[in-house]
Amino acid sequence: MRKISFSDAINEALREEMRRDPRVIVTGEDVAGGATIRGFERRDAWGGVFGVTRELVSEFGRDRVIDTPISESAYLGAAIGAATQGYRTVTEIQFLDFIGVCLDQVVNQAAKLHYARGSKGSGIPLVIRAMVGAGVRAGGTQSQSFYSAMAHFPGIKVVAPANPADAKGLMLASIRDQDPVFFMEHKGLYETSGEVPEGEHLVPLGRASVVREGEDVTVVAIARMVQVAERAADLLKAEGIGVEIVDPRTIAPLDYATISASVAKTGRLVVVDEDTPRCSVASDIVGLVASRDFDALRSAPSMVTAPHTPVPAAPELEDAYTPDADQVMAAIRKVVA
Amino acid sequence: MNTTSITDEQMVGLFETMTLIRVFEERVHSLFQDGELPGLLHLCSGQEAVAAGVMAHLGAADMITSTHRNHGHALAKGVSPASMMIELYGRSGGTNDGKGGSMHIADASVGHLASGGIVGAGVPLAMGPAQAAKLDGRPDVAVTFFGDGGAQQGTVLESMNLAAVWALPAIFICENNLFGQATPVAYASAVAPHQRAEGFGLPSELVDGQDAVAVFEAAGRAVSRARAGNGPTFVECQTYSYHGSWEGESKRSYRLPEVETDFRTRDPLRILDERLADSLQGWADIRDQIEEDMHDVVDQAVEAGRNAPRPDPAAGLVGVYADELVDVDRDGLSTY
Repeated sequence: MRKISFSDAINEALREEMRRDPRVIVTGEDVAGGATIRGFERRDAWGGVFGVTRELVSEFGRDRVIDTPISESAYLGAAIGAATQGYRTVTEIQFLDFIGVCLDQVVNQAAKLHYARGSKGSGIPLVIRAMVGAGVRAGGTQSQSFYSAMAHFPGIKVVAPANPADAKGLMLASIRDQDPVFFMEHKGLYETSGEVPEGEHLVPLGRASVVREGEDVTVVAIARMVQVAERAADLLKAEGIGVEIVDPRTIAPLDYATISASVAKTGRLVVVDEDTPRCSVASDIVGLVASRDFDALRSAPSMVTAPHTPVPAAPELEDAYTPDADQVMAAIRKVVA
Repeated sequence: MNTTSITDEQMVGLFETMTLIRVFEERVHSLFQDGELPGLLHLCSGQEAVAAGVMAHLGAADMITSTHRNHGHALAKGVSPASMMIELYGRSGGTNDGKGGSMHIADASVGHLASGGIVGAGVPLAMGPAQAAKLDGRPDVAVTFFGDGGAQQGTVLESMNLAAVWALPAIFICENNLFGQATPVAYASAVAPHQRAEGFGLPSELVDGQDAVAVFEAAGRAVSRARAGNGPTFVECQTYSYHGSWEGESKRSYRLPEVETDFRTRDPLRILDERLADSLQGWADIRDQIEEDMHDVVDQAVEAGRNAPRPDPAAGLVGVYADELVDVDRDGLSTY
């Protein structure tokens, strides 16, 4: 199978859905990027700050690939309103960190409009693309991974792909979903490549993936942390420890059944998450396992997360902030001891 | 003063809508005082001319977004009074099946997209239907209502700019009722809300919101401009809320008696009644009949509210998500 990058996989998903469904549109800051300059109407300047939406405007035009002012509340609100009129907007807020300026539109409008309409509701189909993750030395306001905050709200779905194939498949499924979906893109994954099926490749929301099987410990890892967990698992083979890695893929609604089945098999749990530890997806998963599958546990579950600090900028500080394979291995050794 | 283009028939229509709103709101006021209605209610008695004057230009394909003070907008847009009253009673089968209550009344089938308890939050939502109408090449418009309080929110200002740069068929109706809760607009806003519009590139008007004909005409100009593809308009309507911000507040402590008296003297129904008395033969009989009819409509709505079944508590668990491909349980977990 051909290999393409995580970034290209998302781009391909957007392109295929826009070809298939004329009501799919893309909005956000610089998603065309310069195409609003006179004479540049079909020319592609940026295609998003990291180029994920590049060359969409040249194929679909400015009516479907629409640059916005830096007014997240206004264009997110427009996307929600357009969702009630048959449009499916894939809107980009660039960094998840920016959600603070428009959070109301997410948690009180997108999340609740369908519910409040009672039996007359027909959904709010909408995808909000947001970049997460440390590693680009950007400091505390363009590096966070607080997807747990979005997952807190009933009515919102949250996905966080860890590889190019899932990025494409989850994007297709997110666009076709009838509900608002946060699509979390880890910056550190954009240039990674992997096998991605051509054409229709749907990965259903709400289904975890068992990335590798093992007998001794279940490691649940999210987004870029799946790579970190795989490296740790490779290294621990020499020590005779069999690591089973579960990638939730969708954070809300969480596929707890797959995690539960894995813990039933291994009896041990480590959750690896780049987010800070308090009220996090990691603490949520540990809590679920402790309350529902306590009897299956042979040792206390462990969390490997960032510390409870902002993301620092300097390379040494940021590297120390981000969970790595050594920390994951240490946690695994402790729970299997 | 008959220099206007409005017809007698249109004025009668406005009077009918405004009477429905007034009778409905006064009945809700007394039902709440009697302890019959639950909830946090924001009534619009005194502001009827704005809802009626704007909505007279709109059809079901024209979308509106409203505020926490939304009963008048909903009734004027054609939402069923009985359906609304059932919702206010917290019963089953109303506009929102008990999941919305007073502040979230909406009915997309008549073009009422959303109301809500977050001041200024409905304004960005209206940009969506405006954008959709424009992309589809339809002549439909979107109208968003907000108060003088909402006018201080960044969401409103962002939306004004977005509507201007995207040349959307959007109409911003600022209902300036002098107070954002108990804070006077003169304190909260350095200039009158409509004065900001020019800086955003939006045509704007300031109208007497107690005069339904003035509102009707200003809204007509704005709607025509939007339908013709000439972009958004901002209309500030100066009005007054007789019942204050919410039911049960101690409003007398912050309202000047002379302002209250002034607005009650310029009651929107009275102003329109006087116009019709000057203009239409036999108006008094028509007026009496309208008032009787609207009382009947509201009586029936109250009966519908009282008789509607109480919701099954389990109904609150349904409808968090629309998509049926992924089932979600009570704890938010996927159950495929």
